[in-house]
Amino acid sequence: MATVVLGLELLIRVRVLDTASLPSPLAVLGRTVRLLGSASFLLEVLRTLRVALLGLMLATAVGVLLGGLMGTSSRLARMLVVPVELLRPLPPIAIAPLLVLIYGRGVPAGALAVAFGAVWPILLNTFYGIRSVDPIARQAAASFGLGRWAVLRRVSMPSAAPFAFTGIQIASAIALLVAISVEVLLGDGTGIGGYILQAGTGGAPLEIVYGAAVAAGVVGLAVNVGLGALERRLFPWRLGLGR
Amino acid sequence: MSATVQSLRAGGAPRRRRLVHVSQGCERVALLAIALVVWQLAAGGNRSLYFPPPSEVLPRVGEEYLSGPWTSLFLGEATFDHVVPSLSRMLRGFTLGAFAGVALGVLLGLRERARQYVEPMLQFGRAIPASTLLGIILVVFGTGDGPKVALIATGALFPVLFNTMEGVAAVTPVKLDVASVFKVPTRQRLLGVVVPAATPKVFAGLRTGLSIALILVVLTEFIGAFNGLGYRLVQAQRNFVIVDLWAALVVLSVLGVALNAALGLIERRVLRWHRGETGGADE
Repeated sequence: MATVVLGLELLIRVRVLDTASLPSPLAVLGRTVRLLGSASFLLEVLRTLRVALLGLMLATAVGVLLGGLMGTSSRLARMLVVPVELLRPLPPIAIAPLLVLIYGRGVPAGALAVAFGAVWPILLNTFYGIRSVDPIARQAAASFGLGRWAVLRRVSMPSAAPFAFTGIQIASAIALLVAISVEVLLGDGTGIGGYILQAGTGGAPLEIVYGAAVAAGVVGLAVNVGLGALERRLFPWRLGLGR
Repeated sequence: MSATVQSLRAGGAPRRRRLVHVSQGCERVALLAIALVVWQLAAGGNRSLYFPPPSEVLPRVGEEYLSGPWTSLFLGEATFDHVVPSLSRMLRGFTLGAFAGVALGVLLGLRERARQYVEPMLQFGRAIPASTLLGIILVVFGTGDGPKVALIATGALFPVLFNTMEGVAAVTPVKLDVASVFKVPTRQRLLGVVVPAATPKVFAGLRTGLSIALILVVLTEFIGAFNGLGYRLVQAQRNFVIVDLWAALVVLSVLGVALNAALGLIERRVLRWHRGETGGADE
C-alpha cells in the first residue's frame, strides 16, 4: 500500500498525472491527520456517528424482534413477506425528504432514514438464523422438559445470535452511507457529509475534500474493526466454524 | 426470503409444486390488497397531512406516470422525464460496477500474492461510504451524467468485488487439482470450474450492489440534477406537494421490486444446478 501511495506521489511530482483534480496523496494524508486531530471536524464526525448509531439501534430492535417472530411463526412470516418485499427495495434515502418534512432537519429524521435502510439485513439474517436452528437440538431441549419460551431463550436465540450479528455488521455500513447521504440532502454543513459538501462547493483546497473523505474511510474502518472485535468477544465459539 | 418460504412449502411432484405456486401468487395478491386497505383505513382515519391514503396516491401515480397515449405504451410524461433517466443511470452504473467487480474479483481470487498486495487498499476503499465521494465528484467532475454513473458504479463495485474474491478463493483446491490432473486448459478451467463455484457468492454481492446502486442514484439526483426520481422527490418536498412525494416513492418501490425480481430470475436460471444448497444468511 505504501508503495502505491509513494508511486502516485512520484507520478504527480514529476507531472505525469494532472494535479488539478488529483492532489498529491501525501498532502491528502497530512490533511487527514490534521482533520482527525481538529475538534471542529471531530464534532461533525460525532454528529454523523450519533445519527448512524441511533438508527442502527432502532433497526436492531425492530429487525431482531420482527425477524425472530417471523422465524418462529411461519404464518406470520407468510403474512409479512409482501410488505417486506415491497418496502425493502425502496432506497432509504428516498424517504428522507418526507422524514425531513415531518420531523424537521434534526437527528430524528436522519436516524429514522438510517433505521429504514439498516433494518433489512438484520431482519433477514435473524429470520434465517432462527430458521436454521438445528431441529434436533430444539426437540432434545423440549424432551428435557423445557417449555416453548425456554427453548427459544436457551436454544434458538443463542444459535441465531451470530446470524443477527452478521446482519448488524452489514447494516452498519449501510447506516453510515445513509447517515452521510441525509447530511448531503440537508446541505447545511452538518456531519461528515455536510462538511465535505460545504468544503467542496465552497472552494476549499481539494486536499481538504479528499482528506475528509479519507477520514470518513478511517471512521468506517474503525466501525468495522470495532464490530469485528465485538463479534469475537460475543461469539468466540463461532471462529472455528467459519462463515 | 421468498425462495426459502417457497422451498419450505413446495415439494413433491412438479404438478403439485405448480399448484403451490399459483395459490401462493393468489395469497400474495390478497395480502397486497389487505395492505392497501389497511393503509387506506389508517390514513383515512386520522387525515394526517403527511400520510395521504392510497386512494389519493395511486391515482396520482396513474396521472403522472401512466397516462400517455398508446403510442408511448401508455407511459406518462413523468415516466420519460424522470423514471427513464434514473433507470438509465442506475443500470449503466450497476452494470459497470458489476462487471468490473466480477473481473477484478476473479483475478484477485486466483492470485493470492496480488490479493495480499491490494487487499488493504480495497478494504479501505470499501470503508469509505460512497456518499462522501459525492462532494468530490461534484467539485472535480461536475454535475453531468458521467460522474453520477461513475459514483453508482463505485458503490456497486465493492460488494460484488469482495464476494467474488471470497467465492473464487474458496474454490476447493481439490477441484482445481483434478482440473490440472486432467490437463483442462486454463480458459476452460476458469469458466468451467472457478466461475460456477463462485457464482452463488457473486449473486449475493450483486444483490447488495443493486440496493446500494438504488440508494446512490436517488442521492446523486438530489443535488446538481434536473431530472430523475431523486430530483422529483426534492422538488415535491420543496414545493410541499406531499402526494407527489408519495407517488414518487411508490414508483421507486415498484422499480426496486422489478429490478430485484429481474436479478432473482437471472440468478435462478444461472444457479439452477445449485438449488437446495443456497438460502443461507449470506446476503
